[in-house]
Amino acid sequence: MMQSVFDNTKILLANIKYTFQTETAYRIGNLVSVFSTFFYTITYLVFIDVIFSNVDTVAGYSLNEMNFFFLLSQVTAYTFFIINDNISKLIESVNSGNLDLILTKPVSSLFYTSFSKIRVYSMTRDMLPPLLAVIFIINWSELNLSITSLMLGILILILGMLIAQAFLTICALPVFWIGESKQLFNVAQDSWFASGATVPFEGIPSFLKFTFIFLIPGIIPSALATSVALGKSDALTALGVSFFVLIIFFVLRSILWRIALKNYTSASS
Amino acid sequence: MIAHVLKKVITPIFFVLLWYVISQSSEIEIDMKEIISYYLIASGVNQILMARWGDFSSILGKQMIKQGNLNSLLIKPVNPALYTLAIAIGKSYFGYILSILFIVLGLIINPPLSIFAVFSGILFMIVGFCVSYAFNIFESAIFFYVPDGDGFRSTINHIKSLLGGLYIPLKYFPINLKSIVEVLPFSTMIYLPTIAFRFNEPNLEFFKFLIISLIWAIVLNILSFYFWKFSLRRYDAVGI
Repeated sequence: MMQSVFDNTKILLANIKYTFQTETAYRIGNLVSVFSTFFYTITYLVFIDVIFSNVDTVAGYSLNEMNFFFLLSQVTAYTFFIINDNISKLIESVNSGNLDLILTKPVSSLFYTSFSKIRVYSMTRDMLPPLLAVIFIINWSELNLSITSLMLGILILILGMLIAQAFLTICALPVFWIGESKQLFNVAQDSWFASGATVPFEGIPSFLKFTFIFLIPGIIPSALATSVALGKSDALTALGVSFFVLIIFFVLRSILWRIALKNYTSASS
Repeated sequence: MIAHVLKKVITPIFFVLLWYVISQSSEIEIDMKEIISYYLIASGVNQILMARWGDFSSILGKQMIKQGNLNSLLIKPVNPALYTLAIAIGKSYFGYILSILFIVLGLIINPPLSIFAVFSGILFMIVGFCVSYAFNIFESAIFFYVPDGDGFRSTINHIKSLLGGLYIPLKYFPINLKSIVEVLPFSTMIYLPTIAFRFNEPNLEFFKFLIISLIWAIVLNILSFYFWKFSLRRYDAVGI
């Protein structure tokens, strides 16, 4: 067990170092990328502002609370890019036969494919300036936040991201059987994104809440986490549901991964 | 195919849901039929006009300029931009069919009150396409200067989404901001063609917006023509 954790940590560090070297190769590309994410944040803040020029609250959320919701949805979005990259690469490697190289290594293939590229540098670079701007805009003293509720919200955010990783991996697995899963993966990805970042948890109708918690778990890391952090939802129930969904998706991913590998026909052998 | 349809409808669904929530939590009068129709038509118009994240600029900028495939076009007696436009249209044919269905569905949900409104919508779409064409040329030509021009493209497209009326109909902007945003070129690619389906007669508003759109179409196409010509001199590819 200890050996396995040690091996996985070594792989993780090696992947981070290699990704850092490739990410810092183009200087202008780096600058422009920050510019783009910064601009996106500004356009979205204007979007929220325009909505609030017409109304006082949206589903019980004030402008300040909506900005906080936007902050958490942005944290999940940037974290998501790490997950997204690796799953896209998994689909490509099944098609090209590169997965062979991973399967022959004495490492957990699921772990390796999930974290083969860790974009720590580019994520920090793209995330930090726009998020600092949002953090600066939020009037923190006006928010109904306590240390406990904030911690619970962050915990739900982390659980939600782990669920997202498992969910998207499952959506990518049909590639082992039919040779294609990019479209399904894209739809899952878009649905996950759209559900999590547009409407506050309290405004989502019940049947959509069920869909986007248990089937396409997009609202857990941002909308539900925000609601818990702001004390609008029962934290224990939310935590229980998040753990339950996490276990279901982890078990499903693990079973389906094993079945998928049995169906893998290498392109090179 | 199902995945393609779902991918197109999911974001508008959540925007409509947001407006539903807004209508429930405030006293503002929001006609949900109008909102649903707006987002359906705007999504269709956006795809047909290649206004936001158009395949045209993606193929011309990334595949042709960045990867050096422009070489094979430069030695042929064809216009590289128009040639690429044809490829882009051919590649997204299913998206076009879907977009037409979206527009028709939008018009069924909130029908135009006269035949003139349909004519007006189509006319604004044609002019909007000219503006979008120029924008796509600008976005592609960035790749002559910066090999990884995606960051710039992305910035331009974020602006288009907000100021073009894809996120939010421009009529909900604060009045001072609205009067400025409506005359910018971004509105001519999504917002104006969408609301043009509601012009029931050739009134003052119709002519005002048509003139604004035509001016932008002419000015931007002249500028993009010269920008492309000037930028092409910088092209330096392996194989030439």
